[in-house]
Amino acid sequence: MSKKIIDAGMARYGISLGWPAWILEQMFAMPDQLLADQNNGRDGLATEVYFNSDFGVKVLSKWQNGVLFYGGREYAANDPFIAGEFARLAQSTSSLGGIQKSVQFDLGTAFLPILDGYERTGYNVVGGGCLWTMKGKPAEDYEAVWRFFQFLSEVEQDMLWHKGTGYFPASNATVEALEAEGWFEQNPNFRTAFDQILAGNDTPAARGVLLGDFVIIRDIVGAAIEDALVNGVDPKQALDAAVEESNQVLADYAALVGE
Amino acid sequence: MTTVFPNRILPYLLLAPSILLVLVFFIYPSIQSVELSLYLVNRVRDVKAYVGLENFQRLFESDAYLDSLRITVIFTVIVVFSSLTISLALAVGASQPIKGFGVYRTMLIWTYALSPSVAGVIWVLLTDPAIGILTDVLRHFGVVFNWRRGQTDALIFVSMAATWKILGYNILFFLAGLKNIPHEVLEAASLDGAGAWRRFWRMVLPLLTPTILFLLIMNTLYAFFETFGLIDITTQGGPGRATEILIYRLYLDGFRSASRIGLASAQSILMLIIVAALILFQYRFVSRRTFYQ
Repeated sequence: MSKKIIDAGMARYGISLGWPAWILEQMFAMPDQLLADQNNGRDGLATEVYFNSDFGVKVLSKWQNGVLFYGGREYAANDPFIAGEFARLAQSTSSLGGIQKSVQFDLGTAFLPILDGYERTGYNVVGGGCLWTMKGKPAEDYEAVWRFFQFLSEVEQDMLWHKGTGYFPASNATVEALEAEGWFEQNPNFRTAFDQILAGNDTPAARGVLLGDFVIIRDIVGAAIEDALVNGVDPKQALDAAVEESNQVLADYAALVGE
Repeated sequence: MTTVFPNRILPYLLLAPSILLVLVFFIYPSIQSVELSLYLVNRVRDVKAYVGLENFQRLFESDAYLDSLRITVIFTVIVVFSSLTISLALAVGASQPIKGFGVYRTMLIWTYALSPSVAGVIWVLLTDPAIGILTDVLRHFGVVFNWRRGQTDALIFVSMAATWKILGYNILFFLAGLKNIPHEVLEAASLDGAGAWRRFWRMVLPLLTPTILFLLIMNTLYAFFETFGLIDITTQGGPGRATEILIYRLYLDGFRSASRIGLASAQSILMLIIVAALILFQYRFVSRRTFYQ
């Protein structure tokens, strides 16, 4: 499809990625490919990551195909997408609101493509969906924190957040309220991410991976993706190096934190 | 001129705030870094284990770290060399008796007033591979410049931005240095038949050496430590690790990661040693050729 778009002169590139390391995790989750041992770290402390599996190498090789525009980390690819540099963008649904407001062309949303020859058995990993607070504060502070969390979870605020950003509504009550006002009929683009989740099943891989110091591992994998897509490094070689470094992070974590 | 204090305590009292600041914000963290460099630490779980010099050993065995060192050397050489030469040329130009000198001077030192992140945003907007104005101009001349898709382009890009950012600072010192050169000396040389070029190479440049030495050291420090914000706003060390200079790597390990603060502390100690050695070297070699009036 990307090839057709370029040949037709519609855009200079076919597709790009937002949060590349995160999209790679999604590519693993949908066809139920584990990213780490211990059932993705859910049954015990993970000691080994599988980014360099045959599957991971296939994904990176596919991305190296010349129709993919590497747009940078996090949300960096959004601007060139809005400018029409490439035709499709695989991005977090949290960008939908902002992109829809900015584009000057008709925008449609679709499921994240799955690697050829694999089936969509698991759903997509959901990210960003939690509220955190620090421990060790006085009780009245937690009273205030609790009230603030309740405020954030109110249907009204939840709807505002969903409509403005594209993030999932956090409760069924919000979904019902949105349906009642016909939001999804008028804005079918905001529905796609829901349908995509519902199209998959709850599999071990679909729950996402649980790793010690995951933040730095994601940075390591992100650099490996750039090495493969930008710097022309062989995908297997780039991922092998990333896995070796990540496993050291996991070993350090296990040595300190234990089970 | 000596200042006479009424008693012996007052001068120390007046110095106390600065000393306190240095102790709390420089000396104490430095001691902590030395201690942390000997530990494996998890910040989030708040646990640590003594590992001796393993952090240092890991750094020397890590290709990524040695690569970062190599990139830092290239980056520093480019930034220091180009910022010194360009700013000297501009300062010499601006110090000529021309109309509107004040306006030029302000415009030239403007960049120094910008914060690194603002400078980064300006350069991102100028050179964005898809929507940048400068990229578009370059494209008309047949030059494809894309710092998101090329290691060399990325390194050139951050070097340019870093150089541009420090120009104002250098120009300020060069202008002051040029003003301090006695007029009579240059006039005498002129009467002896020395042309403008000769006067510059034989008189102006040697008399500027104290300023050059000072700026050489300051610019090296700048390239090593103060370019963090710029990198973070623009390339974030990428693509791959093409612009991951030492200070940025230290930030990733020390602040993004929860488990590498020991490694980051070891890096900060190594950086201190490298920079101290470099400055000592510059001081030794350049000060031999430095003329103080």
